Amino acid sequence: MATAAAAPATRWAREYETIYILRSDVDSAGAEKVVDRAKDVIARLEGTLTKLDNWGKRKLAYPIRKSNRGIFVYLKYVGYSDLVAELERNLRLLDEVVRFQTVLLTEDIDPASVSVDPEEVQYLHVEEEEATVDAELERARSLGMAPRAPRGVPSDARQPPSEGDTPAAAEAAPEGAAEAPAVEAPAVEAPAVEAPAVEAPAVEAPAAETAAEEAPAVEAPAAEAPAAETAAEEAPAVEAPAVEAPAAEAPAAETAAEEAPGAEEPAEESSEAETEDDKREEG
Amino acid sequence: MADDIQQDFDVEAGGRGRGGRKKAPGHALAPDFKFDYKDPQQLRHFITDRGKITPRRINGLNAKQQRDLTRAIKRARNIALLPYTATK
Repeated sequence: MATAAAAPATRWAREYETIYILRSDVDSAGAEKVVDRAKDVIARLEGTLTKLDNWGKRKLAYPIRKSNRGIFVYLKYVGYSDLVAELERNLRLLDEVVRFQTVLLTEDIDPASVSVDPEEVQYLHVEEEEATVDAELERARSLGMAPRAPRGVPSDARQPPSEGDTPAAAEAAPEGAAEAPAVEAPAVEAPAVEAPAVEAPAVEAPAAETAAEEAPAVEAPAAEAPAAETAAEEAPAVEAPAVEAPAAEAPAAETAAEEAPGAEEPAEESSEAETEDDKREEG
Repeated sequence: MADDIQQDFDVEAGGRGRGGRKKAPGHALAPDFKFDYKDPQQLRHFITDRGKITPRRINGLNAKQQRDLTRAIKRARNIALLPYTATK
């Protein structure tokens, strides 16, 4: 190479940049300690630090040492290859540093020509930005927990089609079968809240008709599991009819409605089971 | 060769008017553009939802740019600025 001839005269340096990531629980004193050590190494091996930048606490693209966040620090310096080796050795020894990477920027720099802006090599403490609350909310939403839990009935209606293929279906069905009228009672109540009248069937015209047709089938074995399952397998629209069948049938439904406070609990359980179900689906 | 592909993209993007094919992300780059591994927001245009590097066929880069891109993305992954894999 052309530079080989000039090598004896001046020792050409190279410009490198190193980024290292600190554990997210390191405080400012700990971070300062690492920076001081890096500066010390660079000075000892005749390098020149030209830029020092604290990027602050950032989200990692993937977890490192079971942490999703880390403090990024950026160093730019001019030096020789032994400097890089020594600096990396030091970073490796420090427990606070979880990851580092050095990249060669430019080759063959005359070290004498390097000028340093003192402002550039100040280590500034970056105050933490607080995005954690939003992140958790978002996570809750992605799991389908927060907004869906309160309104039990719509999710009730939506649930059956998916129930068929998940193990939760098996859990939910026996539950419904065991206390068929009791479980359905809150469901009867809930439509009342939503729909204008307790006799929702009339309002939900076509669905109600199909309900009437299916009523005999649903009504008789209502206490038994298979019937509950068939009801569950039917489309969302059909779920409501199934609920109404007992109501059409009679006093039993009314008494069930009276038992409402006590009966509400099973409904909540079932909605919980559903949210779990959702999680499983999303996971 | 590389120029041909770039031109193909130009023709398709320019000749179709509205509702035409979407321009490749590399379309607007200057020929001597250099990717920076420290800028994940930009590199994200050149990875898929799953975190894979897009092929030249899709991103419209020339060979030199694609090498540069690959290098930058791999560096960014190493320092946790970009994911190795992602699930969507």
